[in-house]
Amino acid sequence: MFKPGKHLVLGNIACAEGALRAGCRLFAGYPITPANEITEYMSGELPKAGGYFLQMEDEIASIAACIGGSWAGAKAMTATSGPGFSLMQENLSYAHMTETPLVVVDVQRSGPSTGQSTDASQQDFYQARYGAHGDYEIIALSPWSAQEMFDLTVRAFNLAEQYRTPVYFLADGMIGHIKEELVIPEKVEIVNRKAPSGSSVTPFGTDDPSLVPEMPRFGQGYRLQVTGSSHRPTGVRDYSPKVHAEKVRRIMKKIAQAEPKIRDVAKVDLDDAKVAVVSFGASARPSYGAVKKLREEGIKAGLLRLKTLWPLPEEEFTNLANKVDAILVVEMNAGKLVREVQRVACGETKIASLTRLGGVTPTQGDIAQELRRLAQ
Amino acid sequence: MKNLGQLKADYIVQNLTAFCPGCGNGMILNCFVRAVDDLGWNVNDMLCVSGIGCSSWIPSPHFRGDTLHTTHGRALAFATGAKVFNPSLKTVVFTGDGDGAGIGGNHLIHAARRNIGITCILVNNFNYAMTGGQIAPTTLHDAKTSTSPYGNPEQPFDIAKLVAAAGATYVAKWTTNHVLELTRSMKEAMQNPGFSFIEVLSQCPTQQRNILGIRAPAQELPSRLLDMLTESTYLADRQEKDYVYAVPSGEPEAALKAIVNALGDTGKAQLVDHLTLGRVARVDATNIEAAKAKLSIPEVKRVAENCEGKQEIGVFVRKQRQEYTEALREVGRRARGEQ
Amino acid sequence: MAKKFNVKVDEATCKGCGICVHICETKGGKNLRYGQKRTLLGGALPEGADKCTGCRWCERYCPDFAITIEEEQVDV
Repeated sequence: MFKPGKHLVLGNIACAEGALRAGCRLFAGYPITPANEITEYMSGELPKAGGYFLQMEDEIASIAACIGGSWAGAKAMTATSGPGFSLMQENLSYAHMTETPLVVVDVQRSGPSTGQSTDASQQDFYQARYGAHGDYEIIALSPWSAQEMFDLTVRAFNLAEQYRTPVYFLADGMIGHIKEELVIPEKVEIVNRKAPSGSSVTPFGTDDPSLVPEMPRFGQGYRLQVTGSSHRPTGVRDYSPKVHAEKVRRIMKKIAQAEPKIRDVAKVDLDDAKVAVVSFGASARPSYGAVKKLREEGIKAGLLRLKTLWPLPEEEFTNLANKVDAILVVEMNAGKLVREVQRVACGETKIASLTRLGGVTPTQGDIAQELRRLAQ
Repeated sequence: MKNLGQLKADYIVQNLTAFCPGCGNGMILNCFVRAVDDLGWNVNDMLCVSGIGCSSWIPSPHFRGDTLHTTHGRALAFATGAKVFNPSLKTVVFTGDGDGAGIGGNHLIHAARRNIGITCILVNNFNYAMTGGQIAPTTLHDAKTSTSPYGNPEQPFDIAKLVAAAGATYVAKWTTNHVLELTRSMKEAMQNPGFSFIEVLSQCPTQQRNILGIRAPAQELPSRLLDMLTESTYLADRQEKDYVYAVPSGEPEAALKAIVNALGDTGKAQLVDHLTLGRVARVDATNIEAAKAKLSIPEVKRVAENCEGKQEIGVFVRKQRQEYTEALREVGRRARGEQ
Repeated sequence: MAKKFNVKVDEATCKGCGICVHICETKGGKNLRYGQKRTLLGGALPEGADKCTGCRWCERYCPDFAITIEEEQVDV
């Protein structure tokens, strides 16, 4: 592990460093480009920190081991990319249903299928949100620098513990492989899951307004019944309509009602903006440059950069749509975030889409040109 | 010694089991709690993990310990994460022939390869029972099931051999009709520090009545299936008495009459159920050659040797090898410069 | 003083599968049989004929934890 202070670090390594500092002590993963640096770094560092590194036989087993480990008390994590993320979906559905804290790092490459294994995209925006079967809410974070690969990974673990949920860390192949300054603080804030207070526990129900139940672990004598089947607050299987609906609505509300607290956005020059870019991750970097360029030209441009992709910061979209004359959504996929912005903005303002495929970020020039056109 | 009521009070948390009448899973649960009791294990130290299928319901919701009921085929992977992080958890996995050797086959061989300190009990009833009796990797060739109406085109695994080859350090195979041997084997398995595997051939009255074509009243069918399991298996070191099977060419009852007539004093005959041969006449005789000579009658299609189509049961592997979580702890010590 | 063994079948959890009757017949004391009674689930309820030897094979075999052999000290 790096000492506190300034370092020049690869994005993926910064992510692993953040995980270690957040208290991750179980990593179960499978090799896949462009996430391998995380896996390899964890194999060296986790045992030093008293944790366990598992290279499992496939991604399905990796998520399974993370869930089993989490219920044994571990802060657990895996790192993968698009194809592996697809394999994980069934067990992620299980993690949602059982409210299991864990962190899934998806260093997105370009698809579909094997695609461009060594290049970047932001294609898994919806796979993270809707890839698993059933109804559930998610928390997904989006870093745009090596520093955020560290900071937001720490946040991912804390959110997972606080809300008893899987948290999706949607990095991409470019940010994963960029080498940039990383400042490691002396201390990081750590959040731990709510341990049971009494001699009995209701692991899947609560009267607490947070809607987050206590999280016991195996081996404490609670005779836990953890199942992916529809279940009562005690964990006992129950397929009746009322029980099922209550369970699913609670796990969704648990995250949806906390959106304002989970929300994390960066606003650049938005106060007096007439035209704004909405973007995230690697796409936001040339977007930032384009906004600054337009300001030099006297055009009032601004940037809303999402650090939480899900739950969607809908209020930010609404406020922005009411304020500016045009919004340009910039992303490295065929157009996903733009659909959400359109839906929320509901015709309040002009919404344009700039998409980039091919494994590369959109250029600052292209974004600036489109912004100029929208500003007229 | 505790009676069954006391064992139930100590180990079972659901009053009415979820199983069909006469299901082998309930018998395996019975053997399991006896093994736990005999070992003196505290349920608070135990973790039972299972997948999807009828046998995955053995621990969950019945057993009074921590239970983890997971996704289809993946129980061993979930169990691996839990056991690695907390090796003091006495971890037992319950799976089926479909869950464990079909969709879960990959995780099964890797758990065995790693020799992780988990006991895996795989219940083999030769089909995907919970979903309606479809073919499984253990279904016999030519069997008619709900997804093989013209006969199963596939051949079955020998799961115990597969797991032994993958590296498990305790491998055994029993049937539900071998309750004493199974209980003893479970105890031995659970005390093995490495990966222990027990395959249990089991009756499924609900599906096997169709797949094997054995029709009987509700209170007779399970016992017939149990006897079939014993008839269709053998222990390598047990002396086989002299007997053969006369396969009927027509109605078994009619064939039996004719066989008894033909044999006279040379031997005794009775109808039995056999997994691969079907409903056949078992002919016992002190002079088996003399008896066989009497069986060339039109009611007998052919005579099968007593080992034909039988599966070997017993303990196949007992060995020692470094256990996986121990190897991980050694990695940790090396990483921290402690050795 | 001698031991007497009494068969207790829980009619709420017995499923009438017949395994205990078969095992008592073939390996045990030939005590269990079916009478007229039914279980709460509608299956055949086994009863003891007062010949129980306490071998407990039925307890070993029952899939439903429904049968218990209770010991009683009796004056001979």
